[in-house]
Amino acid sequence: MKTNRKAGVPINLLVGFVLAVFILSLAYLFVQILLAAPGISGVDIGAEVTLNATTTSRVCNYDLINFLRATDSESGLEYAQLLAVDSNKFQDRAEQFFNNNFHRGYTGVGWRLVVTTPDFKPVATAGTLETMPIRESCTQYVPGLTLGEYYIIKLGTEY
Amino acid sequence: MFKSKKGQILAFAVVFIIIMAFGFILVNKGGTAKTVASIGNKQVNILSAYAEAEKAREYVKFSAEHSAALAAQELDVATTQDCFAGLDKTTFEAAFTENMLKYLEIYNSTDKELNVSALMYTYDYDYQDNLVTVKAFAQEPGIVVKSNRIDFTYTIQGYVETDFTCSEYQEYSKKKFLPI
Repeated sequence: MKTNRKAGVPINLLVGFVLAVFILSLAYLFVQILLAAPGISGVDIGAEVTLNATTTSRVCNYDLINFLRATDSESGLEYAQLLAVDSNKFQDRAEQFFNNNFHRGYTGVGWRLVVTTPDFKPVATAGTLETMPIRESCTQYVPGLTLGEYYIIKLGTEY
Repeated sequence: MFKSKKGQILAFAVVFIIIMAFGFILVNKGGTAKTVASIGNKQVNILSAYAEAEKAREYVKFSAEHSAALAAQELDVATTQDCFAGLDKTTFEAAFTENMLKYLEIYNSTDKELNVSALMYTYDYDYQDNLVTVKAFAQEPGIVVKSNRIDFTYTIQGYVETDFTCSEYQEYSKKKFLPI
């Protein structure tokens, strides 16, 4: 066997190694091209995206804002306005609105709406759940009608 | 290149072993090719910024409705069908602006990981006999939501427009408010 006398490494081994690396580089490039074009190769890498939402539910936010923007047919006020003007009526209407518009009553999926002042005095409560779901809940502030007064509206959903 | 048979065998053995090892790795990688891209708290934080900006904008809209009602009440506007006919516009606008300022200065983010900039607005008004339209323009750069967790800022224009009608005013007037 021929050897590099100075380094003491067999030349054949070096040649074999270089040859292998060259062939593998070509093979790797080929595989990458196939993976990048699943339409050609039929390879499906099966990408899957998981969303680890640990705070609020997106649907919850939309449902809450849509509810507060909606107009009460009897008074002609938006529900956010109705809360400030008549919290008892607001409580009755909230129950009705959620069951009619988000169909939670039919699917049996629970929800709970709690309105408090900033110092946690209860103003209104509605919904089918006894306690507020911690994971899927969302909050909106709605102004009151006296200086510095605002309501904290918290919606909790099982969906 | 390979003068001795032994050298040839050795070189091909090296090539063979490396190719087999590499092939094994590739095959194994292919078998577990199900890629899972997890979106974690930082990404959720970014998504939440959109909702937070919308919440702030809604708060401005609700505040504008209340401010218009309170301004009308301060001016002793009668609860008639054309309640805004003959309205003292200058006084109404001054009262409205003052009320809005008080509402907007107390606003805070609903998400402790997101900070909402101070809500600064200017107003434009359209009057009809039975309604007042208030157009609220957020001062530059708009409503800015900044993450406390990551270096991320989300900005919206924050424009709000609301019609305050005489029938809404009548509903508000069923309750006598304390002046703010």
